[in-house]
Amino acid sequence: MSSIQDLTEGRIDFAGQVMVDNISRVALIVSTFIAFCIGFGLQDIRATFAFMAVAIVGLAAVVLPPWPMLNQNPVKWLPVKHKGSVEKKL
Amino acid sequence: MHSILSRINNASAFLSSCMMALLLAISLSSFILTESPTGQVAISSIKVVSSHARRYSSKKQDLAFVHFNLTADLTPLFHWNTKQLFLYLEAEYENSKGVKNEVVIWDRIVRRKEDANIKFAGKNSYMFRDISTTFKNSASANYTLKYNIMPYVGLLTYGEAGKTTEEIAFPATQSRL
Repeated sequence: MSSIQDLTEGRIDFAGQVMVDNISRVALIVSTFIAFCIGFGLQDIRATFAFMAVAIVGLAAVVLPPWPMLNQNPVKWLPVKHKGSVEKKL
Repeated sequence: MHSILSRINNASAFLSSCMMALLLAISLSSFILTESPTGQVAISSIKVVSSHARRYSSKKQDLAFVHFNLTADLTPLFHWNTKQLFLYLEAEYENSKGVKNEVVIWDRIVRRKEDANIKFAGKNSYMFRDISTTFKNSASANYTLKYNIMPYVGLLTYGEAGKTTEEIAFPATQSRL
């Protein structure tokens, strides 16, 4: 059950989240600009949207799945101390 | 950004902003790619025939039959943001009551660049009549070939591709064609 949840949720670590944010922002801005230039150069609006479609699929493939690249800095939790004392305070 | 759904949400939100910018840029590019093609409009004959008005068979109504030649090369108007052209021939005249009229008497939709080199000879496809029921005492008319550029993205733009070189008077009414 937990493995299915891991697969569908696709958690990544904090450094990975920053990386995804940067990749998607830069890739979208650059591909939008290139798409406009291709369409304007070829005088073909289909080329623009075909390029955008390919770019979106490529970006989704890079950014959406929890690739190992995005999980290189797992959070290191502090070790549990005084297991009993916490319960006493509560 | 921690889960797939939040990454989809985040990336698609920014994607929609980029798409809006792209569409805006495409629509603005139409203003750079302006052309003003020229064409000729020649009227070969005009007849004005008195006939019975539609619906009111006791009334008389003048109908004008205009034969014309059009030549225009509108291929420059097809750029990346042109979906199709709407071409129309407009008669502009002032009728006997001093009302300025603009009547569309012929039109054509041009969908492809290959069809944009217009050579047409024929007559008006829409009934050409005046609301005062007669063309008598009407001023002479100008016939103008106009177009609308319908873009994929952006604003509909109007243009004029040709005009008759001189105003053409309406002839006297005939009783039959």
